[in-house]
Amino acid sequence: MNEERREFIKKTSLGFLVGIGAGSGLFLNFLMEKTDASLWSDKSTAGTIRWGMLIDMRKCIDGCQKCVDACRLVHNVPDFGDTRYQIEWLKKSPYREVFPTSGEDFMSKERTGKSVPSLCNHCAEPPCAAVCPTQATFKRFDGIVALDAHRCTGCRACMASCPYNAISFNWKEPRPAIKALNDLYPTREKGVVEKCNFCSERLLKGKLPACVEACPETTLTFGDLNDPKSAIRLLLEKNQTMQRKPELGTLPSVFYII
Amino acid sequence: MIEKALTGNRYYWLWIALLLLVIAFGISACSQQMLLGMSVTGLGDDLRWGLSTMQFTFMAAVAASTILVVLPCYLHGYKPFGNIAVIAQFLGASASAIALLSLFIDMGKPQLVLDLLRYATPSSPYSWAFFLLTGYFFINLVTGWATLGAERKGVPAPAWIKPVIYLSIPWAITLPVVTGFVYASFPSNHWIASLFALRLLSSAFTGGTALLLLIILILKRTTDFDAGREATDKLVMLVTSAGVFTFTLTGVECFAISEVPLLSWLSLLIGIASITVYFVPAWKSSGRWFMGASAGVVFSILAEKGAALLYSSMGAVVAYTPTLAEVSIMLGALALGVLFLTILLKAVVAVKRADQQA
Repeated sequence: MNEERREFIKKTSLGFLVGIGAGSGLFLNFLMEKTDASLWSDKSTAGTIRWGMLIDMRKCIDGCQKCVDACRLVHNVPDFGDTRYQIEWLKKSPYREVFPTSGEDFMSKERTGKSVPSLCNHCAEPPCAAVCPTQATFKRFDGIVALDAHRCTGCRACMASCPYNAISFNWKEPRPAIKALNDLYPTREKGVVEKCNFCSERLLKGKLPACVEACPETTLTFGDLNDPKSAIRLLLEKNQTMQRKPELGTLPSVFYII
Repeated sequence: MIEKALTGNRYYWLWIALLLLVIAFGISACSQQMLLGMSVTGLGDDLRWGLSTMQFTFMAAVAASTILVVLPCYLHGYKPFGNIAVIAQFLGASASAIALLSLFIDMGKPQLVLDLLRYATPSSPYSWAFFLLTGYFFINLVTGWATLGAERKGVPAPAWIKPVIYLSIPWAITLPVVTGFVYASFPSNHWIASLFALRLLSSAFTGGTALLLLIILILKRTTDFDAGREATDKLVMLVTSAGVFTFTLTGVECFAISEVPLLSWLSLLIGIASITVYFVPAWKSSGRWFMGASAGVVFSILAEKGAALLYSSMGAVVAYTPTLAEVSIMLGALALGVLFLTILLKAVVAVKRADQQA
């Protein structure tokens, strides 16, 4: 009797598990939002595009925040007004913080005294994408290091590995802290990370990134690093430029003229 | 065998009640975290990981250290460890469970925890840690339970557990290595990053074995279970040897990096002081000193894990004050694991007692 009961429990629980397994297989996409893949079908293949940015500090106006404001507005980036919880896709910080390993001995105040815009470097070898346990952070075909907020588990491994402090975590519910809501871009929720996406949603429509467009000068140059004739490549050829922490081998796609 | 956990004296039930109370506090703090976000912790933009990560790496280390008992027992047939091998296996399972819980409560979106298995990523040390700890939990639980069950019935352990135990040996060694890689991914930890896997491996054997010693001492005082003099002496030898390596490496860090957190120095000093107690025969034979030294080693290794987290991405040492909610959550996870261990050890003690009477 006892033996039979045991067998019965064994078989029913096995059947139950198989049922759950089959069910989850059948309704895999039940809750997922549909993506229109046709938009991407005629886009370039891997390795042919590598989006990059050149920041010419000779032209950047100290105290101007137009690029930062535009970025906040376009992407619904919340503003908590508290550095501990602050979310920043693009920010302007002192030279020392942007280039901590480059040294500033004997450099003119004119160069080191200005606050420098910094954003995700969209590295060719992104450490954040390597350490992400769910591939929520990943490198796209066009060199953009993208982030899928739906897949992000909030483990913050990417933040810990980013040498540029370019990734922010939603320590609090972000929606109440959004100053002006933009209906054209999704908001995030608490518990996920976010960062600059090089305005991939605007590139899709053939527009330049919002910060580039908002700049009153020609400080920011955006373009394809793999195209030798692009404006950014011509500038890189003619000028002495630098990258942030090049010694780490992350190969940033954002360059600076100081 | 699990029914043995339902009987016990007053102290046993007091202990269970205490654990349940801590768990209740943890759950309440956890619900607050779910509601308000991770801002209830002392973490922020400068410091991404704190107490929970410290507990996760420490418990992964404890889980790994149990092979120092399992390996001599099963591979070399070292008899004195035969008595405590099951305890080590259950400690391995419980420590893995606490480590996994610590990861879980530190996630921004814990509801996605199974995605860590679904989208497992070979390039991510965090992903490896989750996978390996889950595996290690089951390996230890199943082998420990089967061994104990066979012992209770007085029959030899089933043949299938041998290969599983052999598998657990390399499996255990990978645990501190992957947690070392999780730490080494910090861009700020300078050249010391390359030493992390090695350091955590050696400190795992130090801290984990010291914790096992503590558990054995507690069992000896509270129950009639005695691991035996030879097994205890061997464990002390293991802690001391591994400790010498570990504290050398911690010392290298303290002296080589210009700015280290105070906690690193504390870990080094307490560690060396505790190991010294083991070296002096008169102190070693004193129960109080001996227990204090074991607790000191455990604290030292825990502090080492915490200290390594206290750097910002720019390499500066960050001030960090954990909040009450954060401490409650961490202790809640710990208490849940300890409750699990208590129940398992209750079964072990009951079976061993029946053995002795027979």
